[in-house]
Amino acid sequence: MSTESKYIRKVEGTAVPYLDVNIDTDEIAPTKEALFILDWKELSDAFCIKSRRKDLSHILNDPTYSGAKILLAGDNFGCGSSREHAAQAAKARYSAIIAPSFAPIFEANCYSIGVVAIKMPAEQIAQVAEIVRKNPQTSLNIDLEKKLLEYGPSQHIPFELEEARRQGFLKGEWDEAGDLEKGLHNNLHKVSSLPSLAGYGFLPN
Amino acid sequence: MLLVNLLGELLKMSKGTLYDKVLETHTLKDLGNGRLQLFVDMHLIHEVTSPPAFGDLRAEGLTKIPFPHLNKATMDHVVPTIDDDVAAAFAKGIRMEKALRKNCEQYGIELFDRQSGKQGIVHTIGPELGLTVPGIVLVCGDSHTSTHGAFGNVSYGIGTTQVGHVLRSQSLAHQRAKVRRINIEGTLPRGVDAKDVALAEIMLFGSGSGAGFAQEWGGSALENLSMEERMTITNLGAECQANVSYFNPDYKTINFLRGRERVPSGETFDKAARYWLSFTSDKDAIYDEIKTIDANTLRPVVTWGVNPSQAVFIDQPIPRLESFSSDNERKAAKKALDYSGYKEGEYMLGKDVGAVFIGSCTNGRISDLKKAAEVIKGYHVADGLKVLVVPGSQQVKREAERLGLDKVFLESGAEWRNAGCSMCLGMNTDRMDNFPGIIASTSNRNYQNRQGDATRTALMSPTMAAYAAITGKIGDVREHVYRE
Repeated sequence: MSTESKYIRKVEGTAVPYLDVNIDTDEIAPTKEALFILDWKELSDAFCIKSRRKDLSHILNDPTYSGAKILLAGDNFGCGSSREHAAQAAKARYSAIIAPSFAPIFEANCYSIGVVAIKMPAEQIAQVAEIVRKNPQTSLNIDLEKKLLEYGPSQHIPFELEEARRQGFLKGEWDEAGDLEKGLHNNLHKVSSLPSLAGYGFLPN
Repeated sequence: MLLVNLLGELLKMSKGTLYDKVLETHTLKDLGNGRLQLFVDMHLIHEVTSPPAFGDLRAEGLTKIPFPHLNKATMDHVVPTIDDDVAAAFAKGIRMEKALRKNCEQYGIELFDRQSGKQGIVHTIGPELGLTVPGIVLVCGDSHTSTHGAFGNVSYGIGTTQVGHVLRSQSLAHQRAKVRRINIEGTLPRGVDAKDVALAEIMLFGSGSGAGFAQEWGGSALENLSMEERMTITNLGAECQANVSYFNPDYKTINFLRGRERVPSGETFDKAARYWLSFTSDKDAIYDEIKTIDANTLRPVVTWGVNPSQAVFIDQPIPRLESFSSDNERKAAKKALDYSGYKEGEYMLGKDVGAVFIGSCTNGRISDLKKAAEVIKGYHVADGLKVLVVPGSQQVKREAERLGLDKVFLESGAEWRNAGCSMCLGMNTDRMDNFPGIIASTSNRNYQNRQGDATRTALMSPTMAAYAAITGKIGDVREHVYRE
């Protein structure tokens, strides 16, 4: 896999504001609807599906925001389970999520699969949400090189993203599988005396 | 920005802790910016989070994995707890079990299925079999992987893509955390269980309090805890975002492991024991943060909300909305109360329960069942109450039956089931969609719709749940009169 083809330098698109706090993974990817899958393709419509079905006036059902690539979210987004299904369900709809804070596992899962999860203070997200509500066609641009969210001519707000992850997106290294395999191959000798490898930590098969 | 990140790295001050020692001995490569490639000694797998990972391997034409024997699997989330598989009604669960079986066969991974007699909740069978030992890196596609940290290691939950990483490279990228030491000092009052310690910590410190931290537990009040009680505490690490949560290994750890199936014996065991104990945090270890809780202030805990931090001591009412200091907490509390129908200022104590679930990776071990049985013995469950007792593994079930605990439960009118995750997250036919009553549960999560559509979960300890089973209400188990 060429890393060149995997780099993510920016995310551009319209946005939808769903600012409730503590949206947990059970809501994002409900058990019955999202956990029985064998393949991620089965999750194409899973994002918050229970909430959407229960409340037809839910903002995520609002056609004004259809096609939004960026989700504006509230504190502690993705709290709950380590289930990657939540990040995958988000990925089926969005390329980026902006929240004041994320649950660490959810944030890590987003990174593993190339969903750009960035942080900004709640007041600033609210500001952007206001602009988006007034004009849902507003195009936002998350510039990973400049580390800025642009939302109009010379209107931008800085955002927070772990430097390791920012570099990973820019260099296309967020998909770590190949690098990990190389890393194992080149460095296995460093851990060869560990009991699990030296045969006395667990009984060998 | 760069300076801030650098400072952040410099500010990670921990030194000489178990967490540091495990990282030092397992780092294959420093990936920069606080990320390390860690070798994984033991990768545990279950049927729900693994299928797409194996799919990824197949899509890339990978037909082999480098260390099959360091990967072990079981089925727990979707398995029925009754002998009648109700297969036709539960086709979607059956196909997940089939997929895991096929994947394990293809890649040479040992599968502990129900025919093996060693099946169970993944976090119950690991320690039972001696796959969970001190000083290792252990990961699994499940949040409650922190449970294994009770043995003094770095164990945590990972996503499915990372499951794929571990399969193909027996390693993964780990973001170095800070280390927080939690001391519980004093003596745990009578009736206060390890489960209450864990729930109280989340309640007192908040649901995000562990983010960025590995959590080390200790203190005088925890000295008498058994290994199973330690596991209950570390199990709940994920509920405050402390994905790594551990106790230092000691003689109790060694004694628990001695004689376990997958652990060496004789001189090799002694050698292993010395190695394992070497991981204990240094006496002069440096922590990024130290927090202390006075054990004498603890009481039984019960949750009222839709995340584990929304809890009270049994003698406390649900907080008034205006009492929350943070806007977010107040909003979250309002959302919880709108969902449950409870009112601010109301007591959980005295509320009727509609069902009771005793089990899960938090409290499904033999000591939990013993505690529950001791409460229930000589009593009958309340009229019309559904009480499900689900042992955490086939091994626990056999041991419980050897001790006659099954008879205690059955005679009281409770149901005695086969091992699995069951009602913790309702992925099998035990799910209780639209169940109107409160479900008293010894599990670890009370999210909306968790145990079934529109269910209301009240998390509590095994003795509290057993007490609710016989009274039909949420009560204070410290008032219970035990019968012989």
